[in-house]
Amino acid sequence: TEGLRGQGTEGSRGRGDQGCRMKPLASQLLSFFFLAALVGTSFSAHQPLSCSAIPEPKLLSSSIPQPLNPLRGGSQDTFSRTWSYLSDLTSSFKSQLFSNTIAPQPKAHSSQGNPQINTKRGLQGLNALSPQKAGALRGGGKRMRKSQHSTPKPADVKDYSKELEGLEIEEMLKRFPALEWNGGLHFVLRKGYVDSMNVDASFYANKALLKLVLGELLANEAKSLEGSKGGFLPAVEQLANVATLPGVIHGSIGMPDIHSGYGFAIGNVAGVDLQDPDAVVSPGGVGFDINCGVRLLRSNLKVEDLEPVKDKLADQLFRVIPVGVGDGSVLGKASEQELDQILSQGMVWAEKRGLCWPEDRSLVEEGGKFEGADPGAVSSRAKARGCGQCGSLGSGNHYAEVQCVDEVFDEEAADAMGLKVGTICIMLHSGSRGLGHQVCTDALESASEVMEKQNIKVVDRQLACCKVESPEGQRYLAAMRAAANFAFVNRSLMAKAVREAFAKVFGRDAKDMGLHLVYDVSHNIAKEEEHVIEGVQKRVLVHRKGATRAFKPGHPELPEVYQKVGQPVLVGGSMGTCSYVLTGTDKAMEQTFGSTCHGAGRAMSRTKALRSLDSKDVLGRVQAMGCTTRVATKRLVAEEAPESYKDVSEVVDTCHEAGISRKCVRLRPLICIKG
Amino acid sequence: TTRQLRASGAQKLCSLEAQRLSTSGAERLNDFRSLTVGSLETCIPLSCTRTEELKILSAARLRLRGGAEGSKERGLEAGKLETKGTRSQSPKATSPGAEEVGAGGLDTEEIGMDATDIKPLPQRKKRKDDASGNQQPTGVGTRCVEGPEETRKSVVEGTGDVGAEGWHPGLTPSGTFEGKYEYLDHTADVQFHAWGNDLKEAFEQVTVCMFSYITELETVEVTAENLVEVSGHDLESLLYAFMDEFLFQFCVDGFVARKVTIDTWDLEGFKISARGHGEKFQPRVKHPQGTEIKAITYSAMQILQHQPPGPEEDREFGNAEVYVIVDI
Repeated sequence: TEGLRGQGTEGSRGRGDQGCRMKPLASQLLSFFFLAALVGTSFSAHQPLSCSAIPEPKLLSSSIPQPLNPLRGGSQDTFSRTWSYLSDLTSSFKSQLFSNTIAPQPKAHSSQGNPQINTKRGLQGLNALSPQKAGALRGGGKRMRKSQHSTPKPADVKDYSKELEGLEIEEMLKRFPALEWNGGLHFVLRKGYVDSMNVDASFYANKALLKLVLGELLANEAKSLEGSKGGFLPAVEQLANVATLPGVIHGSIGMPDIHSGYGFAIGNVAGVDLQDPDAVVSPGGVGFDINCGVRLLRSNLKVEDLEPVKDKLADQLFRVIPVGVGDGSVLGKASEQELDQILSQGMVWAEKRGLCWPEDRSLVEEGGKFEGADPGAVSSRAKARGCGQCGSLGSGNHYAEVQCVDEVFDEEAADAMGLKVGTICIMLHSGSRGLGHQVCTDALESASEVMEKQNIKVVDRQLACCKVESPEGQRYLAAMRAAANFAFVNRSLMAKAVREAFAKVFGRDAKDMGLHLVYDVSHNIAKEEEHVIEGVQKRVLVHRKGATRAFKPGHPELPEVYQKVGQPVLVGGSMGTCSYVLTGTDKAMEQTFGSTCHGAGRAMSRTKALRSLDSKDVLGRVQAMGCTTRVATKRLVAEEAPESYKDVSEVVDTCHEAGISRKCVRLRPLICIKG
Repeated sequence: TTRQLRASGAQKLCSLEAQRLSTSGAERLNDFRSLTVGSLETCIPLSCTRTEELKILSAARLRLRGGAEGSKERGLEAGKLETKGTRSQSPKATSPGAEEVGAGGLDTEEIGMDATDIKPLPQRKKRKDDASGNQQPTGVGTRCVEGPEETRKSVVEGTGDVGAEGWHPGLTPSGTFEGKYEYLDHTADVQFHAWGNDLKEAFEQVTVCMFSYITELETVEVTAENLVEVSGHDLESLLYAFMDEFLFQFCVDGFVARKVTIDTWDLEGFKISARGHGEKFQPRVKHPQGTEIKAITYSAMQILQHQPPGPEEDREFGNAEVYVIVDI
């Protein structure tokens, strides 16, 4: 009531003589119902008012794409969807009461005028009533001055998925009727959920992972209702948006580790038909870190061999592998000619220079070199960013881990890979560093410029794309392949550093210790592949963002050793958690363009992790698990804690049960190097 | 123009440095003037004023003093990890890490400024202090070279000093916070929210916010400036280009701006020219490493300008706000 009355007077002040004229009785009645409404339903029950006491902030620009509303099937118009959603939740009596008792204010600053604002904050008027907001408005100005004296923490983050706690899948889905469930692990959003969807959007998840995916949706819904201006598009919405891209066939598929990303969700696979002249390539579908991937080295060392020299090895690795923000690379800065050679030849260059073993190349996707890479398509800015970073780990979720084989699920496949229980492996997770980021940035800029020329309309500005056949599309693909080659060389140089570190610490030759490459996969890439879609063999450009290729046994592109068992899929966990090696299956080829998950996928935001987790505790726990850690940044420990990520075992089990990949071995970390 | 230098090595370094700093090859060589301080080569931009030049030179001299003493008393031995002071050696060995790994043919001298990077003060002095229990007087030499204890130690041993209260952005030693920014929730990346009295200030603050995520700004001294000139076709692309240019200059030159001042602000033609005030990033030696920012994104980007507040009203977040998500 305080807030309400306060709003009334402020409103009249703001508007001069035109004010709310409410009789005392009416206002008391109003306050009673207001309280009842507060107690009875959530705030989302109230009808948006067109009056607002505070002038609308003038929105100079906004990229909040439409739609931004919870899943509802049926009518497509955004406004009517909002309305139908609200009217379902609201009792019409209450809403009428509001509209009758409060005199309608002039709509000088209403949200009705600008459709963009309407979509983003169609419920803006609601906020004028919320007591929190009212209180904040009255005393909120102090925030400006206050910030000079107090310590700001990362903004308070609520757990929006609490209401899904302890629910079964059917109950969770009641909230989101547009999501179809096949009773198993597959969830589908049919064509028509978003206008102009060409195919269905679907994803794989089990109960725990579904809770996280839907939690993202709820968080976003709640934020838009609160009128909070921060926010991002949830992964499921992004899945649906991707299905609207021209040329998309078969489906927009989400992996169990799906979460929100740029344009495409991370864990999103989409294939475009290359025979279709309208087919597009989207840099956002590959990601900023082009060819971010994982490389696995095996050895014939055992855990017992490692124990006495664990700390020494950890220190040595931390010394020779450049980690963290800032420049640094295994070999120093590359000259321009060398960089061009790296970009065009990939691991062939490394092999020529003796920086990797000859047999390594055959065990890498694409033989360590993408054909059709053009260093000329890579801008000088990208080269300037990348020349000092070839052979470095980077920061964020990249890592170098020394692991041991904990459990073998598939004997035959493990034998083919040379992995036995108790042997030591080394896993490197890194990408194309600054060069790849800049290539993607440049491509997004050029794509958004040519989209109008090429007459492509997208529902989300971030899905900037251009026709595959166009010069811009071909240029991006050439630059992407060059950046992918750079990443291959990056991982090769780090593998070299690892081999030498091992040689130094153990005093034996690397070949003697059997430090061979098992496989190297990429999980941020777009590749031209042949797939059978509805019985027809087609040439498809598969965008894999946060998804790994998982080809079936017998596929011609696989190396000889893995022909029988299928392609190894390296799924990295997060700090302190296990990693897995899977193999590709036939079902993956049918259902997901031969793709599967890539890792744990984030569950908690970085800010929330910073607030709720203590680096020291996390490190202590990781140490207690038996994993020696070397981290360059203390803050990263909280951000990258195991709690911030989904449970990789859940993700891998879901993939295994869905049949899109088979578990082969589980790896337990012993040493973890992070930037 | 490059002056005659005593050591040919220094000359090579300077030209390489200038090359590295320039984005367009040879033209930028002329923008720098190199001065030798002892055996230390310093490149000073021609556009800087005399006071700034003196500051840079004095900083270089101090580093030189620290370095000379360091090399005398310590004798760099890569590979030894007995004492905690050695921790700071290994990052040094990382970038000229070619010594250990065995350079595959690349010229290890082509490392640029790294080889002349400052070396921390000698251990022996520190140990002497610990033994005698005296606090080393914070002379000019010490302060300039030696970063805060925790940054040097970092979290290498795993049981290192991490700080129980967590990490807060932009915290000054006295515990106050001066920036107008905060970090907002995003699943995988981070959203920067910055505000100010006007849009210009909001733009400045969001850039500082970005740098505060990369390192701790309290450890960054304002000794140098960099110049950024960008243009766009609308406000969003202008903000994007603005932040991207600062990020690019950080990636290539290692320049961290603690404060940003926008000089020309043209909203009709969408042009900005600004200066960043800060210094070169020295990871693990002076500045703690934060998180690397891969790229700026247009994702959920909002640039908001509010009406000027009435006499009684106060804005929660100033008159202008900016939301930017960056890719981590």
